[in-house]
Amino acid sequence: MPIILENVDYVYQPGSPYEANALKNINLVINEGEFVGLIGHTGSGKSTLAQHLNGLLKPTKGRVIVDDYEISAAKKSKLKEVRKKVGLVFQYPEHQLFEETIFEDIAFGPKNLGLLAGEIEKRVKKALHMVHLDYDKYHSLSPFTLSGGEKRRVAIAGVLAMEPKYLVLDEPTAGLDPRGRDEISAQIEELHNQGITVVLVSHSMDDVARLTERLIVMHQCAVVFNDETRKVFSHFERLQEMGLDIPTVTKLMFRLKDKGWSVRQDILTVEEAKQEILLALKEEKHHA
Amino acid sequence: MVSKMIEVKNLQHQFLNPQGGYQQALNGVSLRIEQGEFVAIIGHNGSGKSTLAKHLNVLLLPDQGTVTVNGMDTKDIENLWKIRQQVGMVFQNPDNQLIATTVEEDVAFGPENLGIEPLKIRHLVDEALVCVGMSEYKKRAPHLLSGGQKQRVAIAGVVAMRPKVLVFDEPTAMLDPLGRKEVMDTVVKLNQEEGLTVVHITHFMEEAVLADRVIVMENGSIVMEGSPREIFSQVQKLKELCLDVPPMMELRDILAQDGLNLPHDILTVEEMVVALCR
Repeated sequence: MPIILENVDYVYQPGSPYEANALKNINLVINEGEFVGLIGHTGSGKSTLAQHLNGLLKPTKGRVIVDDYEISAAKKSKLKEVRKKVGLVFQYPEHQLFEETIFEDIAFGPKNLGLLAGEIEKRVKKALHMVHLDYDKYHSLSPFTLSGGEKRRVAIAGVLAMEPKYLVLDEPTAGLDPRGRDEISAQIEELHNQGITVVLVSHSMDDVARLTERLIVMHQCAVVFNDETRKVFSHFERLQEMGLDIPTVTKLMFRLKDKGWSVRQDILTVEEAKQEILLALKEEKHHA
Repeated sequence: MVSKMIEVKNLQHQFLNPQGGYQQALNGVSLRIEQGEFVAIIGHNGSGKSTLAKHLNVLLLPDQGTVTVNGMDTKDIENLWKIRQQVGMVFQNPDNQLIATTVEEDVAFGPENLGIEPLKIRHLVDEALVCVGMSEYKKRAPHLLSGGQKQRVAIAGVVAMRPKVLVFDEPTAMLDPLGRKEVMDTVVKLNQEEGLTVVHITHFMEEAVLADRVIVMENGSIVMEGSPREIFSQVQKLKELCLDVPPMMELRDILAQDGLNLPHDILTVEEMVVALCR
């Protein structure tokens, strides 16, 4: 079953001088098993949207449906059930680490579900394994002795220990070095391959190009594009108007086309760009 | 005429690690930075970049070796405040660096602590805010600004001290693409128009490309050093170090493997277009 957003509006601090519209008439479906990217300029509403997916914010108008559970302003929602299904990893999740040991930190969520000690331990082990941290080596350490990338993995493990069906990550690689970023990206990909539905909020066009199947673009509180990632990036000019970039190789293809080359523009990776350039050069030779 | 601004000789530094042992953070680093130069330092977390940077304005002292700033040895306590005035640092998190309730008060904090007279402070603050393009925000509250604007205010706070060197420790790591561009435009401007010497630590290769010289650190040592073109054309070596390779350089490499004859140092989309259209 999918996550469905129907005519969702959200207004921050309604009735106050700070009243601000953050979401306008959002209609979306996130299907099970998908890997969806969510991009947009700062202030476009993408984080507000992400926080609607697990009921952290309730729509001012319209409704969000997560499997069997409805979240709306009018209805009393079963938020605890929703949050078991949808795990949300905030920006800089390592800022939320607080326990004395890594075990306790990851166990915090499952404990609040009222699970038995044996089940909690099982979940902590599994979650650490999923983020590639050795249980024996790490479980009794303080999370604050870890490197930035390791801390972030522990924070993600804390969400995975809730065994969510959907995982929403808000800029999971921001501020990491290239190695840390690649490790986290690879782990998210692996989680998706294991069957978890992933929604990735990101500023990195190269990352979403590489990872996602579908891309949602937010601009001024509304969804502007919602299509295959490849197709979205072919709207180069519209994206630039919104202050968004496109992957570097896609940009190259647009420039070559300007120069009269006959190349496809829906190119996302260096490997694809190579194939396309070699093909174009071969054809040119053929005609010459 | 080039004159030396910073000289680091055989610098070693150790930290106490959580397990109680010692960890070598810098392993005999030697480096010379000229006045007006723009140097980028890249490398992994833990490679020693920030430890090196903190030696440049005496936040850390060498265990062995020497650091000299504008002819002054950092070990000499007499030089401490002079060096701190001449070498300004800007850090990663904008929210940790702003302390006052308005932008102009925040920028005035440094000069006030130097004991400069109020009229002159007014002048220094106004000038610094012009430098970073934040004049129209001077009466605003810092916490209501965007990330890029906050970082520019933090830079103005350092510029108002009239430094000779600016050291940036990942100033764009927490910013969105627009904020990153605002900050980098400011960094380049301060280097080119104001003639300030810049040391810029970053994980973003597109920022390192803007520098005159790139230094790559790994395990407390300098492992590569050269112009951005020289460094980024060594695709294999960068990959071994798990560092990013600019996408055009990577494409250039695999096209060359397929027999295409291309210059070996293509950094940008435009350069690739020119090379392919020859």
